[in-house]
Amino acid sequence: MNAAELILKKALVASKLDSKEWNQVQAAFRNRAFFSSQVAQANIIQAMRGRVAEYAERGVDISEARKLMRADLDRAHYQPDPGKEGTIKDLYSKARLDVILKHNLRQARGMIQRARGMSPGAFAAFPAQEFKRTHKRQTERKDWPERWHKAGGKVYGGRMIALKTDPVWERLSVFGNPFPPFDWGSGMGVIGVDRKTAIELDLISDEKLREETAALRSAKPEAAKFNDNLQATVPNLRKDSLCGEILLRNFGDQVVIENSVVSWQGNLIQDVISGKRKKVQLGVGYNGRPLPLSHNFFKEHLSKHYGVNETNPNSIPLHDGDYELIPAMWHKPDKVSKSGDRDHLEFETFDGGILHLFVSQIKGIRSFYKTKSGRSLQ
Amino acid sequence: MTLKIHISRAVDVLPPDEELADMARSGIEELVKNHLLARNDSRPSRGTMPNSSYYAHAAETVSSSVNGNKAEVTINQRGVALHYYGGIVLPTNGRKALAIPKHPAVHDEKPSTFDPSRQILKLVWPKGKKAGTLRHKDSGEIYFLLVSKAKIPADPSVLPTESAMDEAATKAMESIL
Repeated sequence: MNAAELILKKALVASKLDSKEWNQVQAAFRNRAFFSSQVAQANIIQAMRGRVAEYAERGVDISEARKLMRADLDRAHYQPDPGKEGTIKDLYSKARLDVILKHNLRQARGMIQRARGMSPGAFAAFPAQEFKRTHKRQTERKDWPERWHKAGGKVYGGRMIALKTDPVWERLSVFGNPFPPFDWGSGMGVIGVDRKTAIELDLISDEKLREETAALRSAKPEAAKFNDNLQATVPNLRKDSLCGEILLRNFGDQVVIENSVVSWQGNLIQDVISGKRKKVQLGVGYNGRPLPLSHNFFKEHLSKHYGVNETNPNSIPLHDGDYELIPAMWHKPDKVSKSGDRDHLEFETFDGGILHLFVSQIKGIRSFYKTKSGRSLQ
Repeated sequence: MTLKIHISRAVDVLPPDEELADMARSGIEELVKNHLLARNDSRPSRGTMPNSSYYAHAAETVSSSVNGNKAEVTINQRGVALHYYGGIVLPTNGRKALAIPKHPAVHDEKPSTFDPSRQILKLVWPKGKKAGTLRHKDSGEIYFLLVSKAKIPADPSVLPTESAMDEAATKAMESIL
């Protein structure tokens, strides 16, 4: 999996949480979500994810990527909050766009390199890593040695080194991740430390290293775990508790809380489309009811409306990102009207289109397509 | 860019070959990453322009695979192949010149970022000269240098030598023996 693929696998989470609040969310959940602090519009999040993936995939230069993102924001008639123009809270500002583009890309690359470094062979040959400055910065944070020490790290001849499996990495990162970036805009990174050095520094014995390598052989590769159903336990968590409410409100259908166990639902839409899950259910929507979704519906639907399969000249071919907006339009449609016994939901997208979802209270989704803005089909 | 390398010690000579291949590729990857990071460290800063950490970003994109005695190293960073093999860069999309940022205010930017209707930039290209400039209309400071083409010489030192990569692969495999 490359960085662009990893970014596109992330579930869209539109939420008003700010960066400090996001940091309270468990890293394993946060890493599976594509979000931007205090951006609650799903179509903006969807456009951002696409642009970041393009930036990662095609090596579009950052100036061009910013330009494309600003064009997306123009199409959404985005306006920064009064008094916030040009600041990091302004999505249009260079500083904010750079955070969105660079941070997400570095994080995806960090996660991929971590996964590669934790394969049995790579771990056997390079079981430890050194924490060091890898990227130059105009103003460098000077407190990293102190933070390393506070996180429980040890220093060997002036070098900050620990086993890859040491919890110091998660404790060091403000995001709770064992890979770079370890802080917003941080230029610190890691380089591998080989087996011989790790044993000489007494970080691990040869015997223990062989044991840990054997354990990795039988474990599922880190990269494959990414979109697995992930469970996290929060003690005494109730749906109606403040923490439960925050998780459900911001992660929506992505999380389920049962018996104090918080479960991540993978990327619901991608999973049901691919057939990884035969049926999923979106939570209570605009009409106070849940919405069941089945793989069979999407299988047939894709054959008629996805990409080049679309034959209706009045419709715009659908793409992955359009399907992933179904939860957002189910919960907060831009417009709802009646069409016979069906509800007609409309939702504006970034590429100048309108998504149309027709829902029957008894049979669920009956139709889903996209037209150009301002044109409505029946 | 992707390089194909011959490894002198084939990884399928010892079981389990899949894991040995994994060690070999991690040895190559670490070497290439460290090489690019060292290159990043050694690059002088360009006057007042912020350092882009270009080679540090390249280091984050390194991946490799090994099969038998063949290895492939890929660096998914735009421009690395150009620096390695060399070449001539010409303007595209009908543009007449390449614009090279020369002022911190336009770091990571292109002239097209600036709204033409606001006329912030002024073109200065004396007749008969090979290069022009885009200057700030009020201060006169040079924001971009304009050239009709740029010749990038081949620089094989962008990457470690193939023999160094071969050695790194072998060393990583032998470390557990």
